[in-house]
Amino acid sequence: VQREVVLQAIAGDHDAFASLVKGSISRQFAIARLILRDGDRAQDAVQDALVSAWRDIRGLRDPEAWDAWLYRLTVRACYRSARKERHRTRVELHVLSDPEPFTPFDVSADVAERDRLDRRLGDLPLDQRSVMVLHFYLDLPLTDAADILGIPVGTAKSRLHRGLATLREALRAEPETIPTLAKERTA
Amino acid sequence: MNTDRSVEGDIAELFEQTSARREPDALLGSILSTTSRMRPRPRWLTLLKEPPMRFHSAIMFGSPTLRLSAVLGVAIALLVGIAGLAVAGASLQPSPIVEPSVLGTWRLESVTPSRGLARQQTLEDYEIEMTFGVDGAIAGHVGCKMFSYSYAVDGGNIDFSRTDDAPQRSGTAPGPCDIDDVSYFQMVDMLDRWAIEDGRLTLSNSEFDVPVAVFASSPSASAPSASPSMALYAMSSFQAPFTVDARLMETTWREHLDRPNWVYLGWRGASNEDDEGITFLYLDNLAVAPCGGSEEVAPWEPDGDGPSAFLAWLRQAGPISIGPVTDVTVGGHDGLRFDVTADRLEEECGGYLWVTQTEPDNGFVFLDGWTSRVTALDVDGATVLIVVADADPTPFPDLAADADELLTGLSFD
Repeated sequence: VQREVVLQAIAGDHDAFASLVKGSISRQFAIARLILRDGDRAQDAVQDALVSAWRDIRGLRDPEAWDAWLYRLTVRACYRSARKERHRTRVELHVLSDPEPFTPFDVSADVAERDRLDRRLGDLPLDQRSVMVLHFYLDLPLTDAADILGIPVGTAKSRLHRGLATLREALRAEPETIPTLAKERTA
Repeated sequence: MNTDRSVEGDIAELFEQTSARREPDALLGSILSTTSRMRPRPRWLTLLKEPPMRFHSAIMFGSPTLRLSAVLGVAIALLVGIAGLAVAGASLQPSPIVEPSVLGTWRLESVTPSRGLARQQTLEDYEIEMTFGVDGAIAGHVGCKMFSYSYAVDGGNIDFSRTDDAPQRSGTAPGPCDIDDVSYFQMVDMLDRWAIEDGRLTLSNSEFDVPVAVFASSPSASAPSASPSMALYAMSSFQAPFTVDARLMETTWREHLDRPNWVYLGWRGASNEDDEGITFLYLDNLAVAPCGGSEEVAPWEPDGDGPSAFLAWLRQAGPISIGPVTDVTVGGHDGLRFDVTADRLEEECGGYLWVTQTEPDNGFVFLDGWTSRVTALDVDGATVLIVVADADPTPFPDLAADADELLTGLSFD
């Protein structure tokens, strides 16, 4: 069914395009948000990507590849956004964690662990995080992720490998602590 | 967190939880409202302007063929010009340099393992091509790396000589970069015989009794160019206030964010395509953010005008090192060239030095650990900066040649 709708959109039917956008915008927003880690910028990136999709839709040869193409446009828009952002003022807020080790079986441990992982993901370079989002969130094979990113598969593999290695190393090096907020919650 | 647990699983779980938040309601309406007022680009323009995309090994967007045709059109025009020159100079050079039948682009199809060639068994797995030009030059690529040779043919004998110091990474050559290119060059060094058999180019060593390397005519083969190592890019739609008559082997170009006085020529093979590359910038209302924050912007208050004033100002702009300054002439305009090494930014201000224009918001960035080659030109009273940024620890092994090539034909409107 989607194929037919894509073909209609390629033919210039804006209603068909709108239907496609409605069906994909949530996922595109999620991808952008995971890559950029900022809701406002993710919103801009998705808008940029979907407007580009309409502008260039006549270049799409294979209607079956609509999703992959859209992923690519979104990732590219994220890269553009990240580049712009770096050229502006940035104020980075770092949450200082309590050096006190957490208590085993503490119910807040999962929250703390997730928070630690989340922060470390945020520290990764954009290109490594992008591969992770495509691979772990969209569950795409690395070959497909590489196609979408426009890079060789070997590069995608090495980015993923480097990213995971960095995360493991960072998590290993960082003392297992819980943020103050989490500790207070359990006090 | 227990790092013995699967980090991959934790990431997937985290992504799933984080992505649960819905997009803002207004976003969909905004997109549909914007697109309803637009018309899609014509197909031909889309195919030409947007980078092709492959998916599952098939082209699903864009048209390399169309792009190639544009390039070939220019190449053929050049060839016609070269041919005219060749005819005019025929009396000065009575004998042709090469046999015509070896001309063209050839793709490695098979390698016969022979003495000392065991490692070359994997070479066929990569896209290895050589283009034999009429001028006795060869350009080719091994995986993503470009190389060049000169060659001479005498009957069935052929002699190869490397004309570059090392293969250059390329953004346009297909294939991986981790190929063992040394084996290939060692093999070529051993070849001294050639023949065309069943439409294939066979290269061998006179001591061997079997062909060593067999090349098929490349699907991307084109009319032989006098300068096959260079792809000519048609830049007629380049809406910048300057023109570039340059051969951009390794670079691609794009206007940057529709900003009228900043053009960025990206480096497609770079790990960070956003920053490695060549930037053209017209100076106006310049300022500098010494540590990457606009609150610390130091205004453009040069003691005078032109490249010298810019250099003096830049020396005080932040913790950077400026190498020897040389006088240059580019596009008929005099200027200065120097390398800027930013090796203390991380330590002293945590990241990068952002040289910006306050209005409009343009500029370029010096990144910690990188070296940028800056050319500052006086163009009819305006100062123009050309910044080549390269993250490689050895500055400019790849970009320098491209940048020089680019600037060779630079002129300003």
